[in-house]
Amino acid sequence: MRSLGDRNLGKEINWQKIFIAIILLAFLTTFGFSQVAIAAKRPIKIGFIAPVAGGHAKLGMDMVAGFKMYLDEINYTVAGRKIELLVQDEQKPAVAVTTARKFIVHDKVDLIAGLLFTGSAYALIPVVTDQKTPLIVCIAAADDVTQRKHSKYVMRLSFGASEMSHIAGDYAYKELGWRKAVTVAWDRAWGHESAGGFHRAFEDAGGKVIQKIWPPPGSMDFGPFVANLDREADGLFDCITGGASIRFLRALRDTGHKWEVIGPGMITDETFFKALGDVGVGVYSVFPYSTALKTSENIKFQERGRKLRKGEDPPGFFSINYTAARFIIQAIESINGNVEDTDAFIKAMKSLKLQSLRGPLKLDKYGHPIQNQYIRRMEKVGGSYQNTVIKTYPMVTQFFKFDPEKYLKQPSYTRDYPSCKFCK
Amino acid sequence: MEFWVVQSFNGLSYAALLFLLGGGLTLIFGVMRVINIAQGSFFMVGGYVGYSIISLTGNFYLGILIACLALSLIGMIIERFSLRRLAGVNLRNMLATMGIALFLQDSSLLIWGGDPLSISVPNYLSGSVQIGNLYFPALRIFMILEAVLIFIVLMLVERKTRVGAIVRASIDNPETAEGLGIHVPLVRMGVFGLGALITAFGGVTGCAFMSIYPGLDFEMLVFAFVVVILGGMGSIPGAFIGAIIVGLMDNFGKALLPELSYFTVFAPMALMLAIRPMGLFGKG
Repeated sequence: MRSLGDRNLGKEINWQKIFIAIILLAFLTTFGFSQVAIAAKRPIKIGFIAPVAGGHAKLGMDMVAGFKMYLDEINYTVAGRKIELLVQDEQKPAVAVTTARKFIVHDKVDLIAGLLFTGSAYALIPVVTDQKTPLIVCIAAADDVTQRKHSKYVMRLSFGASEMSHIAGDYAYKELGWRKAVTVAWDRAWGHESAGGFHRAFEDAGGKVIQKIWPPPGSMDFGPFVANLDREADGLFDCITGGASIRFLRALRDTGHKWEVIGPGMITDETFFKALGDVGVGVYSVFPYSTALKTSENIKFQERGRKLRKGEDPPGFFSINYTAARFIIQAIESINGNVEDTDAFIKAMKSLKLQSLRGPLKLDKYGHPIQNQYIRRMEKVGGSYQNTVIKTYPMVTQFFKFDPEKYLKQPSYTRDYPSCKFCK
Repeated sequence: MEFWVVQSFNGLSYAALLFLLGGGLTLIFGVMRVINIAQGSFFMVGGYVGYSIISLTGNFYLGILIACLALSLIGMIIERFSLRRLAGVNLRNMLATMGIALFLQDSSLLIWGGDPLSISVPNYLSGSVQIGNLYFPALRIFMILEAVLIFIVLMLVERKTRVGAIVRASIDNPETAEGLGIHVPLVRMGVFGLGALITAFGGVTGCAFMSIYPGLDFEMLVFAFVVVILGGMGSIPGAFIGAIIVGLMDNFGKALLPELSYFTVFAPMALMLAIRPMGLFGKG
C-alpha cells in the first residue's frame, strides 16, 4: 500500500512542478518580449470594435474590411511608425465597454474606433473620457453622442440620425411636393431620432405630419401597420432598417396603394439590392454616400474595392469606414505621428478638412461631421440596381439650419417630441 | 367591414407562419422532451437551402423538397451524434441545441454570406388576388394552405397510421415499446428529423415572405416559443390553436392599439403561464 502511495505522490508533484514551470516560462516570455518591444519605436495601436460575429456580422465585417483596406494601401505605416490594428467583437454595449477597457488598460491603444450600436457609443463616452483616450465612432448614429452628451474625446466620422432625416423632411416638402406625411419608424432611439428629425424639418418648411407609427423592434409582420396608414398623406418617411426593410417595403406594395417613400440610406443599402429587387425602385433615401456617386475619387475607389471584393461593389458601411481610416491617419500624419499627445491629435482631427470619396469632410466643434448629404433614388440602370444621386445638400451640419445653442436646449427627439399636432 | 376582413386575413396568414415554425418545436418536445433552441435555425437554414436550389434550378417546389430532405438529414445527424449521448437530461439537451443553433448561424454566414437574400417565388405567388377593392397577397394565401396541409398530415399520421402508433407508444412507455420490438432510438431520430423537415417545409415559404438574413433565426425563435407555450408543449392541435390566437390577437392588437404593440404577442403567453402553465392542450 505504501509503495503505491509513494508512486502516486511522485506523479502528482511532477505534474505540479511542470505546470508551474510552464506558467513561469509563459510569464517571462511575454514580459521579456514586451520589454524588447518598448525598446524599439513602438507601433501606433488602434483598437477597433465592431460586431464581427452574430446577427450583425456582415455589417461589422464590412466595417473592418473598409478600415483595413485603407491601412493596407498605406502599408500600415504613417510618419515612419507602424500601425497595429486590434479588432474585437462588439456583441452588445456591456461587452463593448469591457473590450474598450481592455484595449485601453491592457493593450494600451492610442485610440479606439468602430462601433455599430447606439448603445455601445453611449456606454463608451464616460469610459474614454475618464481614460482620456480618443474614440472615433465609425457608424453608430445616435444624435446625443455629439450633442447633449458630447465629450472632447469622442468624435464621429459617420453620420447622425436626425442629420439625415432633417434633409429628408426638407427635400420631401420642397422638391417632392409633399404637404402631408406619415412616419413609420422603429420604436427605439434610432427610429425616434430619425422620425423626429424628419418631423421637425418637414413642419418647419410648412408641411404637416399627420400620423406617426412605431413598430416594435423585431416585428415580423408589418401587415397590421401598413393597413392602418392614413392615405391622405402624400408620402411616407420610412425608418424600418435592417433585414426588415425588405419585408416592410413589400408589405407597402401589397396594400395596393402607391406610396412615395423617403428614409435614411440604410433602407435601400446596396447590400439589399438582390433581395429587394424591383420593390425598392423609386424609393428615395438620404445618405452621405452612394456607390453610384460620380466623383473621380469614388470611381477609382470603387474599382479598387471591386478587385478586393471579388467583383462586388463596396457598399455604404465599407466605404464610410475606409474614409474614416483615411481621415484618422491624415490627422496623425499632420502631427508627425505623435499620437501620444492626445490633445494635439484631437486638435488635428477637428481642424482637418479632407476631400474624400464622399465629398468634402470635416468635424464641427462637437466632433460630428460636416459633410454633403445626398438625395438618392433607387433605380434600375442597365440591368442592375443603384442608388442614383439626384441632389446634393452641401456641407450639412448636425443642426441643419437651426441654431446649435438653441437646438441643444430643446429635448432630444423621442416618441413624443416633436409632438404630433396634426395627428388625428 | 373592409378593415375586419383584411386584418383577419393578415392575422390568419401570420398564424400560418407561426404554426409552420411552432409545429416542429412542439413535435420535438412532445416526443423527446427536448427544448430545441435550434428551431429558428432550422427555419432559416431551410430557407437558405431552398434559396440555393431555387436559384440554381428555378423550381420553387424542388427547392422546398430539397430543403426538407436536407434539414431532415441534419436533424437526424444532430439527434444521433449529439442529443442521444446526452441521455435525455433536459438542460443538457437544450444547451446542446443552443450550441447547434450558433454553429448553424455561423455556417450559414460562411456559406451564404451576410447580405439579405430573396427567394424567387413562381409568378402566381408574387402578386395579389383582388376581390372587390381588397388585395390579398397570394403568398399569404399559400402560407395558410401550407399550414393547414401540415396540420392535417401530422394529425392523420399521429392518429391513423401505424407509424403514429409506434411514436405514441415510444413516448408513453419506452421500455415496453422496446420490449415489443420497437427500436426506440430509431424512432427518436426519425421524429427529430421529421420536426426539422416540417420546419424546413414552412421555412422556404416563410423566408420567401420575410427574406433571409443572419439573425432571422433568433428573431423567429421567440415567436415559436410563444405559440407552443400557449398551445401546450407537445400538442399539435395546441400549436395550431395557439398560432391562431397569437396571429389574430397580435394583428388586431397592433392595428387597434398600436401603443400596446409589445403586449399583444406576449400578454396572452404571460396570462397562460399564470392561469394554466401547461398550455391549452398541454401534456405537462
